[in-house]
Amino acid sequence: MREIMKIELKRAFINTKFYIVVFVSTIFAIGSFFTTPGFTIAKNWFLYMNGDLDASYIIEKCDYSDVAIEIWMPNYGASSKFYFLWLIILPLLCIIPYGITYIEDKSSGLINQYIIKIGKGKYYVSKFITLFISGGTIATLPLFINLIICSMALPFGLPVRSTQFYPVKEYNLFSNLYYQNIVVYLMLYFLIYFVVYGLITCLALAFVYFEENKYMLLLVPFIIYFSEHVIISFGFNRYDTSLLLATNIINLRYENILFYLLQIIVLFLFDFLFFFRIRRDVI
Amino acid sequence: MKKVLKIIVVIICFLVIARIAYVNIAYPAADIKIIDEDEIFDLKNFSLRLKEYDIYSKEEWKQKLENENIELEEEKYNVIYNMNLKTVLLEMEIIGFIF
Repeated sequence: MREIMKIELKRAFINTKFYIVVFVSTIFAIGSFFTTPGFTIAKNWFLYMNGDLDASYIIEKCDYSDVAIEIWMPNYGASSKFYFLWLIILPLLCIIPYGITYIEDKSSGLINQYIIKIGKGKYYVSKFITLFISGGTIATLPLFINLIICSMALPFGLPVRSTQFYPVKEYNLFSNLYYQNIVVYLMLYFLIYFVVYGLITCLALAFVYFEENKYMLLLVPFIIYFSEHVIISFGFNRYDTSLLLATNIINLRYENILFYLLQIIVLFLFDFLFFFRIRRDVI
Repeated sequence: MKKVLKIIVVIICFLVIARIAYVNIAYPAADIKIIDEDEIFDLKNFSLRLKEYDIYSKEEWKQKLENENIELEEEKYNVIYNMNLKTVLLEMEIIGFIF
């Protein structure tokens, strides 16, 4: 199992498609920094530190409470075009490097050699885990890059609740953690992103039995992800609980957690269809 | 080619780490600081010393203003503050300018 995982992880992370996706994601992360009010704050701090008088008036009013997390891209949500565009096409980015390798293995006959050597079960499990890790990594990487860029502009500190600058209120998930232990909050934030987008990317494996065209399979997670958002927004009138918006847990309220968890459970069960239907797979 | 790329990546990482370190050391920190009486804290251009402080509850603050014959902002402008915060009266001393 360890050997096959090593091979599959190498296939997922050391290929040109992965580098291109990381490059595109980095552009989104940098663009998000430069196109939000956060950049103005960072610019004023830079001018202030270089002795600009006008900037000093602005900074004095800010009361020294600006921290990197204040100008981090999820903070500005839909007002940042780069962030919002990235969020919409994220399932596409996640699936490009590794998502259709199962179909490619099947059409090239490589799958036969794998299964003879290591067995069906191990092969399918390794495919699932690798795609999960690959999808999760691509989803969390731009957030991390943007956080690094923001940390280059402002000091990394604890948000101050009394300033009311921050979008996390008492009714938001982990709000106390946000104001008391930001590092743990960020770790949880990244973990939730990793798991949710890992699961969304794995939808391509579950749908491999319905659709064999690899280009169509590339679109499957994106279509389900976006249509789920549309159905929940217009059908249930709960736009802030869709996977597209609520995975940014800054938007997630305590009252919506059950609905959000339900979506993740359904997603997980859908992904699991991949293992259920293995028996019907004709190689 | 790979070696050159590696060197570029290492240089970028070094510059990023250096910049983050500079920002966190040189910028006035935004962390909440708990300061006690007589303690000195430094801002960019000057340092302050906390000489004295008194904490008032909402009722105590109202009483104090009444005693000093100062009209309460809430009553004068008919504003309702929902927050039940305590009021702190500070006395600071500027102990040094850096130009």
